Amino acid sequence: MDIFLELATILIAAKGFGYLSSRFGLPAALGQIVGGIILGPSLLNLVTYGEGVRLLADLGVIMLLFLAGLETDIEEFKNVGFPSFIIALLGVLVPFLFGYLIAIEWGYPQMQALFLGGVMTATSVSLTANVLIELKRLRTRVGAAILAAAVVDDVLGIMILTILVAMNTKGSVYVEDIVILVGEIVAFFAVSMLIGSRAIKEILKGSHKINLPETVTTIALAIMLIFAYLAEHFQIAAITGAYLAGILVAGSEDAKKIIDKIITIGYSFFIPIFLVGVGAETDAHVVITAGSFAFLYSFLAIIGKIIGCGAGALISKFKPKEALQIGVGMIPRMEVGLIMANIGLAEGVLDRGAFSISIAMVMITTLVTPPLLKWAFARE
Amino acid sequence: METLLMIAMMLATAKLLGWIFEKFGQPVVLGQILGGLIIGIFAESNEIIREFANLGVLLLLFLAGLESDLGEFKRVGKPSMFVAGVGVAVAFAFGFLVSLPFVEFHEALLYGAIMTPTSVSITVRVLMELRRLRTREGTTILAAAVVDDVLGILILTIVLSLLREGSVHYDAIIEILIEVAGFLAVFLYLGPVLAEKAFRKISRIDLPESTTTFAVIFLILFAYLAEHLNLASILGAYMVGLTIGQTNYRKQVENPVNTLGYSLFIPLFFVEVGMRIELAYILHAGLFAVIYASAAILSKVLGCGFGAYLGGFDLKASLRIGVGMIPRLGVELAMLAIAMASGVVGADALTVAIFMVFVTTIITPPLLKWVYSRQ
Repeated sequence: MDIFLELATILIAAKGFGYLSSRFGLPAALGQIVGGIILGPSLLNLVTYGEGVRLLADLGVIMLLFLAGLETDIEEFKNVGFPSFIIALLGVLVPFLFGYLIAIEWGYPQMQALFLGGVMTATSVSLTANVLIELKRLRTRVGAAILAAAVVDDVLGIMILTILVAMNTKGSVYVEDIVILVGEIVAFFAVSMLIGSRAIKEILKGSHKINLPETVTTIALAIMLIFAYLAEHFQIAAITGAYLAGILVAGSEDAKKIIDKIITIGYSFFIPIFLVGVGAETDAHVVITAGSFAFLYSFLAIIGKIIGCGAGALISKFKPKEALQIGVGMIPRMEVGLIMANIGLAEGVLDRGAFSISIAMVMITTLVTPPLLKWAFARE
Repeated sequence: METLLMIAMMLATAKLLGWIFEKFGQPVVLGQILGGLIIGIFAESNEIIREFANLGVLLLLFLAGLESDLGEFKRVGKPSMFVAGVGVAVAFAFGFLVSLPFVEFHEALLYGAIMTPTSVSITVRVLMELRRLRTREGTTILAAAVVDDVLGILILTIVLSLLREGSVHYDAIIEILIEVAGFLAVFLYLGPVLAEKAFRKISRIDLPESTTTFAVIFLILFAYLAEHLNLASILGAYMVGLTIGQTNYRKQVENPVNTLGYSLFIPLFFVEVGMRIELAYILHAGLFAVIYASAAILSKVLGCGFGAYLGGFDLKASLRIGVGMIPRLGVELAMLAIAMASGVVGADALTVAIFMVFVTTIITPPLLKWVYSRQ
């Protein structure tokens, strides 16, 4: 199908299904994902998300996290630094153990079981960010804790992946590999925080001199893209880079104006394309054929994050209700989980069956998160 | 993910070079095209970025439509018919005649056809910058460009079918005429009422930016429809903009679409145009290309200027309109792609046409600023 026609279909579906969903009291994002499943290859095969549309969807999720960064309360973010570390650490350990142990119990070989544990660790917070923006709860301590923990989770996830791949190919782990990897990532964050924030302030101030239409917005977008690219360059997720860029730009005087503009650009075009894409790119057949283990595995993936992150939050003196909200917010796995599963498949660690189980888990966690989040935040 | 970095680079270049050019009193667009030319030396555009640029063209024409008011459009209807009609006839004749000594008869017909349509996107940007878009001259140019697209595509279709079959394909001509008439009639008479109703329904969807999203949906759908009916997609985009501009939702659509367009898609389009120009082409083309490009400029200034004069403009206004009608860009490149896909012309035509596009787009902004500065 022509790319323009596909875009029109996607946008109509996004607004139509989103509207229906919110009429039933559910988050619009859930309807948009379901709409994607219906229009996608699983059922109607109307939208295919080829290379061009894929990039638009990628830009959508990047803008979503950029926006989340812009909307983050910087003071809260500084306050949740240490708690978020505990939350992420327990949120990685508990699901990893759950995944590994159940796989061993089910008779999977050692290496495959380790990978199934690894796939369970990778939170992808984009969907949570969207629902929190929708519920207007991003600018809270809980919101800041979830997003900060997601950044730590991303770094821990890439470490686990590197270790697992090394164990599989070389038979052992070289400590210096991990040190170099983590050192580079830490250096990237440190340089961004120290030099980046000042440089960005100056660049944005300088861009006021250019009196062409929408210059400040364009420059903010360029900064966002560069950080997303650099993050991928250092092997962490593009969305983590975009979130970092958002936090840095939030410190400038133009933050308020930029937020409005990015909301316009993102929600009118890119973000709906991303959300429908989440549904369109998951193969619903996999879930049906993956078998009963897939459901058990997915259930543990959900419970694992709630228990792990929730416990971390409780230790960090969050209230029980807030701990539940944080745990639920960390459930979705999405693209980071998919990347892990794909690497596992490519490395020959995961067989087809275990791969589909991972995919099913990603899809199930994605679908349950929006309603669970709404429920967790409604109990006030 | 190299594409992300490329887009970031293109955006930064667009604003930076646009700014430098503005400092020196030159049109922003020219700076952005030059920026593209420089980026083009180091990196190559790809399919995805081209899609982005295409959306930029559509948004640009949509905004142009949104900003023109239909009362003026109807009032200038007659002069813009003269401008377009005479402009197209003169351009076709010039293009055909100057090509005749260099190429065969049937190819010369094609060179004539490629010279006909005007792409006013560059003129629009310059007039917006000069704050002269919403003048009688501005609307005449926009209206004439619409007619001129239609006439140009009509001529191309005739020439192509002539070359393919050795005779004019009457059915195709009649079919296109009917489609164009239907398209215009539907938009001008039913469009505003239907759009008003549609947007009233849409405003009940309480998700963020729904009105904007649906404006973009209509834009994309009608651009696709126009393309599908063998008209140019920018014609559809322009008509949708014009139609929404007649409703009460105009302001509500205009601001967000401006943001969407000017922060991202439109600068990308102009930089991408620059990236497509290959310097080696120009050196290779030689004398014929220079003559062809000069004919392209002269024919529009003389033809459209004369048309405007016939339509009741004074001499100075006629000159401005003629100059505003010089640039060739989107439609020509699309027409060329069609012509090349059908196998009637080869890469040598591309060389010449790209040089012509290059010269006309480069020369129009300063020329336009010059004719407007002579008060």
